[in-house]
Amino acid sequence: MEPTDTLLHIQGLSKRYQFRRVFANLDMELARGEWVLICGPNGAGKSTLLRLIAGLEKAQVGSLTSVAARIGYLSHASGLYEDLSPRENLEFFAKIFRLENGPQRAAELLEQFGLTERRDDPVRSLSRGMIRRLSIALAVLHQPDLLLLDEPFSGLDYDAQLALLDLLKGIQAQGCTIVLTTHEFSLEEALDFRLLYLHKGKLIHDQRCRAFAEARDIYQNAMRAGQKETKKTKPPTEKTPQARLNTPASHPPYRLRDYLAQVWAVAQKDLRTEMRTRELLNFMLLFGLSAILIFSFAFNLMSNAVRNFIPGMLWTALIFTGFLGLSKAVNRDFANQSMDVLRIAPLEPSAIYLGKLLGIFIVQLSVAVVLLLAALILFNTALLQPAMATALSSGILGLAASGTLLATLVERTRSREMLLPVLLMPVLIPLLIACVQVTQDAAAGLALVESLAWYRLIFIYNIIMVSVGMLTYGSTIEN
Amino acid sequence: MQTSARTPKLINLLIALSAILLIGALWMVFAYAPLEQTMGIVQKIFYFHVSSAWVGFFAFFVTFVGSLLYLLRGQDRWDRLAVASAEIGFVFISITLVSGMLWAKPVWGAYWVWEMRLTISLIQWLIYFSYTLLRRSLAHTEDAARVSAVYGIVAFVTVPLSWFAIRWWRTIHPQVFSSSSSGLPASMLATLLVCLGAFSVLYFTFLLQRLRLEKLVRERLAVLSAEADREWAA
Repeated sequence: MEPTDTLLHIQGLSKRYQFRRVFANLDMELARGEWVLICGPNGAGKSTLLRLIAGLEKAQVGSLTSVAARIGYLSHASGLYEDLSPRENLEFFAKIFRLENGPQRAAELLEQFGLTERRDDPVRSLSRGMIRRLSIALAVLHQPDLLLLDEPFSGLDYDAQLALLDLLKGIQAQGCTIVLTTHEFSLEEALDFRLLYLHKGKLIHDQRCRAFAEARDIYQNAMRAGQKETKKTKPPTEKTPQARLNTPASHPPYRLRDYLAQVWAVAQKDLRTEMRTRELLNFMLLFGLSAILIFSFAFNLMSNAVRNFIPGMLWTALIFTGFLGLSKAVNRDFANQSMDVLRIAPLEPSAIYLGKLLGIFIVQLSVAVVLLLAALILFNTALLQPAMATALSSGILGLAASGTLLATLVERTRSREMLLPVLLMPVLIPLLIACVQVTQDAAAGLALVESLAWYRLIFIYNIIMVSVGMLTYGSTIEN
Repeated sequence: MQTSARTPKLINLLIALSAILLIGALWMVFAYAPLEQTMGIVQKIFYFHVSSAWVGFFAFFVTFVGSLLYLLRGQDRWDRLAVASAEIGFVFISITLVSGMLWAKPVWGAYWVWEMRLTISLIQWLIYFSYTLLRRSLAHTEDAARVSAVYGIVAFVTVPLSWFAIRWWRTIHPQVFSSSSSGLPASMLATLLVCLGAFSVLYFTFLLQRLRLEKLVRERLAVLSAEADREWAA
């Protein structure tokens, strides 16, 4: 087919980061089924261009019109959860992309990318080349019609680059438009592609090449010439080789069932990671028990007069352990830029929020139960009362609701570890007061109705925090 | 449009009005309002304490509205409003805390008593402080505006809940207004109203001036960005 069927149209695009201009008035067009290679010196705007096309960043001026129904994106980072296996990663993202045959598609890709033997090993145990292949498998999981790859050959040896190129050729042959950035031109392969050379956000060269060696010459000449030779060469209108275009199926309608399935998938992924690493549980439990120990000496909690302090001590310990866990739990989605993959997927940000909230809630509730039992044994108090389950679970829900939102909010700030407690503590005060009261009432053996006013307050707090979280999470996870 | 270096007429007018109202309020507090029989001269703090608390609460509400509108509309001016009001609110809540403590010592025998309004003021003070810290940890970007806006909303909704929680928990604060009557003699009430008016005008004066400064800062950043652009283009 001829590359005249426009897939993407960029007009007058300008993008800046405070004091750094990336693009000024960029115009560009991509046709369906094209193979496009973007190169240029560091800071030319290659990665930003891919992120703009993927919808992960917004330009200040200009328009970017894309008719691509599905976009696949691979950044410098892998986008993968390192504590999960390749199979678990692909199956998780298949649920997020709402693929009906998720496990089957994951198995196909693992086979195609030569990862079947290592499908159940944690991603962190794979070689760099394997992780790169798996990242590309993730990018093509939902059969995108536009695939954006940022430096896919980076860090791979020659054979691995060659193997990767073969895989990409196969994907392109199925009708996918491939746009990749690279500095690697050592491959001695014949390939008909369009070369775009960017310099300081400007398109300097736009021409067709038939081999990497040809692109290397253009690249090196342009690098030597710097910006002086800014002659733009019109690409010849040739046929893109063997591009068979699959008309991509649009996503099926979004139903409540799909939404809930995505919420559960996010929570399940977090819990699975936690079960595998036990990072949060171990640290939180150890910290919580240490806090109880310190409190017991600071207030001499064995004295009958201060027994009423025990619910307060328990909640203080829970809140402090929460600070430890929240930051780590949220960071897992940002560590390898997995959040970018989630943002590209047909997924409501509120579903990510609710899924994370659910995962954090379950982990924190487990910690609360252990700390409760520890307090019961260490201080010989009657804490195991029927109303205690409601007291703990309602309070932990509020803690998880506000904590998940604020931990995500500070994720990209400087000194996020210090900022989270500072922001979260004042917000938790009404919850803490109410939780201590209901826990005291429960420990005294009072029925739920006796603490109804406090439960009402906790209920309102939880409703407000969950609502604010659901409504603002999209703004929170934006770059 | 470029902001003029000269102070706008409206701000000058508000500065003059604030000065007149504050002088009038001071006269009313010390010369017009009668001396309270039980508390004596220390009761005079009450007029400034209540007025600064009112402005602090109102400023917090304005930050909430600015944050909400920024998230809904994405316009820079709403972010400027939120940040300007938060900073001014922080100053007024600090005055509330200090005046409250000065009043509490002779009346309650301690600088700090864990009663409802003082505690709420402390929570607000902490929230304003956190908001400013959050702001400082981010550069002047859209990210900073968005992140602060989310926190501005979360923080605001916490305040009424804290109010109820602490009210149910314990309270010994004197009720300034009840549903039937203010409980104040007419002269004291008039003095309080003038103080409230003077502090409110002072708040708007500060707010307009701070908004102007924030606009100037952002215009300066834009100039620096344009210079960077020229270097980039060269």
